Amino acid sequence: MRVTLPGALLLFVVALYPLFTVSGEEAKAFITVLPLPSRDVFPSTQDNVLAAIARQLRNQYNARVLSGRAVGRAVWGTFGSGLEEAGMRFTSKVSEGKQAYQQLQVEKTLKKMKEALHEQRFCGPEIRDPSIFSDLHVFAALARLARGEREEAVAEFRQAVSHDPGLVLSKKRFPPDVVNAFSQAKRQLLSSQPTQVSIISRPAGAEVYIDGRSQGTTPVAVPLYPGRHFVRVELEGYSPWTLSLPDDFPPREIKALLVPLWTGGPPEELLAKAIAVEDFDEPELAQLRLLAGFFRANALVLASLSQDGRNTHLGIRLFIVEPEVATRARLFNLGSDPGGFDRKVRGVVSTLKDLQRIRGLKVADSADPFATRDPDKDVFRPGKDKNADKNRDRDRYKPPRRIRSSSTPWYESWWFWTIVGGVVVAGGVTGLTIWLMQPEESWTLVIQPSQ
Amino acid sequence: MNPAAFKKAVCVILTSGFIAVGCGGDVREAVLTIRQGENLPCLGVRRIKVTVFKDESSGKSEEVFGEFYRGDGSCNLPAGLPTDVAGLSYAGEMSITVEGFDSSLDRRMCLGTKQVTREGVESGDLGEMDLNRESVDDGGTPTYPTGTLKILPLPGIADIESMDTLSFIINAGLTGSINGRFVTDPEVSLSDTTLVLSSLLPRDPPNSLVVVAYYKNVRVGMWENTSSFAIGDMFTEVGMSKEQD
Repeated sequence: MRVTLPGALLLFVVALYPLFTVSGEEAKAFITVLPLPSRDVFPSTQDNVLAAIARQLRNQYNARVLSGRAVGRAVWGTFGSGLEEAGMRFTSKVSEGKQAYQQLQVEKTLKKMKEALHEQRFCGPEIRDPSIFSDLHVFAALARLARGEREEAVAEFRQAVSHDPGLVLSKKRFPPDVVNAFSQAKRQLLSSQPTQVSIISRPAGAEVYIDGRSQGTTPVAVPLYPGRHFVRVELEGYSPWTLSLPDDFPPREIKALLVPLWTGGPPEELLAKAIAVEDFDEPELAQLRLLAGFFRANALVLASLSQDGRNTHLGIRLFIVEPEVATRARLFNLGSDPGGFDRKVRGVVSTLKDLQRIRGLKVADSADPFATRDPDKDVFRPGKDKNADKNRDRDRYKPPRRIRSSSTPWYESWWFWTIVGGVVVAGGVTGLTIWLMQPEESWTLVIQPSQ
Repeated sequence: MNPAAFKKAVCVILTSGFIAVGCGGDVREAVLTIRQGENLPCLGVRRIKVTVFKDESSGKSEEVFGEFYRGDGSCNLPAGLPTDVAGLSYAGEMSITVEGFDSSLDRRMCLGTKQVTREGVESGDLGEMDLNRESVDDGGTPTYPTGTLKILPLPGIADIESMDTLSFIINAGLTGSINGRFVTDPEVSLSDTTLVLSSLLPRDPPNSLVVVAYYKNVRVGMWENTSSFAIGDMFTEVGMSKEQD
């Protein structure tokens, strides 16, 4: 019998496959990552870190995770985020830039537009006036042309047209060289086929804004030309969902999971103490219970991002509903390289060992935390159940719930299949080792004389 | 059995199969039969070298020493055979070469080649191969010269303590002189063995033969033929005497 090594490896992988597929029936914990408002960290950085936290929680603790800036926004609104201030600064910088150009102050125009561009990175999706986007780039282009930088001017015009493909520069208002440069940029951009970006949301029916311009309600397909774009998805009763698209070609599909708005006021006391204090007092604990109940979560991970020079810091704290545990806050330096965030976040998440203590996994046995919201489920919902505190205290002294009943046959018991798994893996590794160590399959030539 | 248990049972069975396959290894044996070809292929052959090439540039070889010729020039192939070349690896293209030499290092008398396939090896029988004499170009005409010198044991060679090379020259200084080095059977002493030089064109007397022993490029012994001899059609015995340094 002759079998090639790749074939044997494939056989081995196939053999191990069932081991990783049979545990899907078990309930998973549901964890909500609640980001605290952060005014000095770029939204894209926040998105990256929050996504990395969610990914690592799923991988390391086999949990369902709700994360993202939308969660923070559902709770805090724009409180403390600096978004409103950034939006005002952006509008004001663009307006100052326009004014400077009209006074023939070219350098000042470029400076103001550069500052506006910086603010736009924070607040782009929040801007509701679509004309500001094109003004920013049109006046930057005019200033570039005044400095004789035609190439750069065409690039600015291209971005302006990308925001507003219907943009026109009147020959009566602008000199011929400006109109020519603009026409060239417009021709270049519109000669390419726009990407049809399909935008869906859950729940559907949300209003979609791109670069401040309404595009209809989800599900919707929007043609987008290459360039920087800002997406905002809004639905009454849900936190606005925002996304800043990169400068190059847009994606073909955008999915927005809308997070319901926190019905109470922003828990400001919690915000002040989430990372700062060692132990929570009862008011903060009560707020955490309410938040966990609202999100139907077994645990909350409080995440606070801050910027110190070039370094990004992550403060993290864990609150578990059952048994109630609030860990102390820990601060981690994620460094300055966004490429290394994922690796460092993996280390950070690995410190949240208390998540393994979560009991009552039936709370989040739905794939979509919002699709099957049922107030009658046995989730702890402070405020809805007058006896909730009493019940929780009573449950705390119960022995841990058994996930499996005692009548489970031996061949379905975890210990049996752990042993089998161990034997299989050990056998596979041994077989592979023997395979690799044994000499190559060989043959012997015998030379004999004819009879 | 529930689906989960079934999947796991399948996993165990497949993995056991993997281990069984992983532990197994085949070592096969394939037989190649060689036959005497045309033109007295074994005349003067003292050494057979079998090489199996798994590609054009690398191969594994085995050498067999023995007196493969008979007085009439026909083969005495059973001498030293059968022999085997073990530990050969499989390759897409494999070829087998059997070469016959006289007592010299590189004077090849005869040759046989055969291409083999993996399937052939697995069948255990590689068929037959003809060992044919190689021709010598004698002024544009391919010929099969049969002149063979049987050099009788070199006197006093057993007394030489160290020697790493034993070279020869036939008709030194004359047109058509031949020189080279001897390769001898490592299991037979030079004082007992008869050295053979074959595939020589016939030549009338006088002919001369000088054999020199070296150790690290220093001459440690020299022999010359005791009397003049002719190189004839078949065997000529040449007696040697040791020269004093």
